[in-house]
This record gives sequence, structure tokens and C-alpha cells, in this order.
Amino acid sequence: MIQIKNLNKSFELYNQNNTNINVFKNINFKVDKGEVVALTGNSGTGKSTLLKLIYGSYVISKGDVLIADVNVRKSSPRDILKLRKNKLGYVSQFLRVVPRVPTIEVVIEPLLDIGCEKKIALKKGQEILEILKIPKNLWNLSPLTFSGGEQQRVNIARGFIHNYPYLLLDEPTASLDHNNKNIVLHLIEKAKLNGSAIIGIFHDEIARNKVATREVNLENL
Amino acid sequence: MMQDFLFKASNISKYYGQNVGCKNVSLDINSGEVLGIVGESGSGKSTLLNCIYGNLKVDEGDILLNDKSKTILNFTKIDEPKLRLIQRSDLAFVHQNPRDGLRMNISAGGNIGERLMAIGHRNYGEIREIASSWLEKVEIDVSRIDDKPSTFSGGMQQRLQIARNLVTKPRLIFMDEPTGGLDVSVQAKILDLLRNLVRELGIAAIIVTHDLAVVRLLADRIIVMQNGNVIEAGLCDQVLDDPQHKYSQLLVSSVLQV
Repeated sequence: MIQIKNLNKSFELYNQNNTNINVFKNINFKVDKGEVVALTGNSGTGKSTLLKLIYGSYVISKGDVLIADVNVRKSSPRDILKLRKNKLGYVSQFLRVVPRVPTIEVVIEPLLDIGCEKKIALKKGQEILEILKIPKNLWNLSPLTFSGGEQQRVNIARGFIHNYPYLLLDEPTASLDHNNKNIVLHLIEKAKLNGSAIIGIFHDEIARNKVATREVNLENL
Repeated sequence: MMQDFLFKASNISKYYGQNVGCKNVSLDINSGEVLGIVGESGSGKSTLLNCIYGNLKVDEGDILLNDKSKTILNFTKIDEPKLRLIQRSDLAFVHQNPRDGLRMNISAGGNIGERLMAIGHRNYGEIREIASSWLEKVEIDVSRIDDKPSTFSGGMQQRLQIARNLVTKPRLIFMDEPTGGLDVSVQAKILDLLRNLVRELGIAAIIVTHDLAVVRLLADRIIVMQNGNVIEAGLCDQVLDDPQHKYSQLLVSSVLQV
């Protein structure tokens, strides 16, 4: 279960006239196994910020994020890294990879990181790239040269190659055409049935209605 | 649990007369981790790196290495020959300027082979073969194996230095702006090589750089230095995406895009 308790986030920008930006206050909700919670609310209400707080990329100002038995705010960097490696996946809108590394290597990295044998990892990598319809002749090229939609699917392949019990999805279908969107929604559905607890941001209403079991609107909290 | 760490420096201070090189710095690293040290030039990053490697004598603090036989060595307490031995076997140091890390008057192959011989390799054919494979790994044409590094470009020299240091598979590598002099595409290749070594061989690396894009791709954790002090430390993406200290915020926001 992912549990968000009285979560507050503000940014203190020292070099910009000491501006203090309050993003949100007292967010409370839980996400159980097999649930897909869609975060909603206008731009600027802190949807991506919330995902980054859960993932540990942002510092929690007040309150707690509990993932299984891990309290994110109280965890050391090493514990967070361990949590990410084994349990907590995150698919962002942007692909950040070492240039010149082939797509297949980029995709299987999460498996290698948990000690999976390379042969098995490669097989799984090929499977997920096939599911996501990335043409075979691109597998050995760096994804940095790909189109936006292809890059996004490489990111998704990375996020879904390992069965993370907890998944954070930031606009996973944003730059995809109809068919590809459905493939990704199907992957999310499958993870949900597998018992993953998922929190996502889906601007596309149709996509959201298809996979979300519940919505949390950050404006009404 | 105490025995699990690979390397630990505590309360390191180094003064240059009245000036602070670094002050009261502590860090630790385990096998398979990459630690980045960032800050602008003059912040004490290189001083710190040279102190903890044992190149510079520290004024205060302890430097502990959990060596291959699980014995904990304190660099500030062991004698010079012992330290040099450790530096050759367990550690490696990649200098910012390749001329500081290479022997300029012996061949490229010799530069790599020398390190192998120092750890006991004797078979000439085998040494040459390993040297060739490392030249390939760092994208230096194998036909240049008998050429001296003085005939190489700066970027090639840096790649050769990295090969020379990694060939003996040290457990901890210290790197001072390792990709600074390299063009972008070779830099990428080196980054990938380092990441694979870290994962496959469980090598640990401490990397000093001012290039935040490099640390983002390589480091698990980073420490930010200013005027010889550590002002912020933590998870790499957390420090880069949500820096808490005034100076870290300035440093991160000064970069075009990372």
C-alpha cells in the first residue's frame, strides 16, 4: 500500500527574492494493491510534484509518504535507491539516458540492476519492445534519435519490464497515437491485475476513464 | 554491519596555511556505488579527492578502507610503502590532466601493460591482448598500440588513462573531472563503460566534476561543496531537482539544462 499522510510541499527559492511557493497542504490518501489512482486538477496544482515526493526526488516539507514499510521522509538515500530498484517504478515524460547506448540496453537496465542474468533480461527486453511495437531495426540504436512517441514507449518499456509492486506514471500516454495508447493502457491494466498499486497522471480523459479505479483531485483536498 | 562499508572518510580537514582546502568533510561509499562531488572551481573538490586518496596529507580526520582481506586500514596511520601498495591494488586515480596519469614516453600498450605487470601478469602475448581489448573499449584504434601517448590527442590521452586505470579492476576509483577534456560522443561512451563496470564488477567510484549532467547520469548520491565545506549531500536526483541550500540552488539553476 502507498499511504500519503498530511503531506505538505513548499519550495523556498533563495535566489529568486526568497520566494516561498506553497504547492499543497495536508494531502491524505491511500492506494491499495490493484488500484490505479488518477491524480487530477489543473496545471500547477502539484500532480507531478506529488509523484516526485513519493519517488524521493523532491524533499517532503511536512507529513509522510509510506510505501509498504518504508517511510520515504525518514529513509536514507541508500534505502530510497533500494526501494526504487526493487519495488518502486517511475515512468516520466522524459527519457534521460546515456547517449549512444542502444535501446535494448536502456530497456533491460532495471533488470540488470536487480541482478537478473543478461540473457534472461535480453529476452524480456525483446518481448516488451515487441509488445510496444518498437521496430526491431531500432533496438540497437540509441533512443535519443527516436521520435517523441518512440522515446516515450522506450520509457514505458523500462518502467514495465520489471513487475514493480508500486508504480508512478507521469503522463504515460501523452505523445502516443490511438493504437499505441491502447497498448500502454493494456500494460497498465495488466500491472493492476497483477496487484501493483499505481498512481498516475493522465490528462487524456478517455485513457483515465479506462484504467483509473479512482480519482484524487488535488484542488479539493 | 560496520564491516560492510568499502571506504569511509570522516571529518577531513586540510589547510593551506591560512586558507581552507576542505573542512570537516565526511563521506562513505559501498561497493557498486557512485558518489559525485560537485561545486564550482575552488570549492575544494579536488583537494578533498586528493586527501582521501592519500595523495595529500590531511590535517585532521580519518580515512578508512575495508581492504580485500576485510582488514580496516586507516590511511593516516599506515606507512608510505603500504599506502602506495594499496593505491596500486585496491584503488585507482584518474587525473583531470592525462599527462599526470600517463607515462608519456612509453607506448599506449605499455601504459596499460605496466599496470598488469605490477599486479603479477607476465605473459607478454596475454598482456598485449588485454591491452588491445582495452584500447577497443575506450575507442582507440588498436593499430596505435605501439605509439606513444605524446602523439595522441588530448581526448585520446584521457581515454588511455582511463583504460590504464581500469585494467587492473580496482575496487574504488577516484576521478577528477574525468570527462572534462573529451568531446561529447566519447564522453558518452566512457560514461556507459563506467556504469557497466560499476554494475558488473561492483566497482565503486568517487567522481569530482562540475558537469551536473555527468553526475546525473552516473552518480547515486552527491555532495555539494562550497569554500571547502559540504553544504548539501544526498540522493543525486533529489539534490539536483530540489536543492535545499541557497548555493546548491544557484549551482543547479546556472546550468543551461541537465
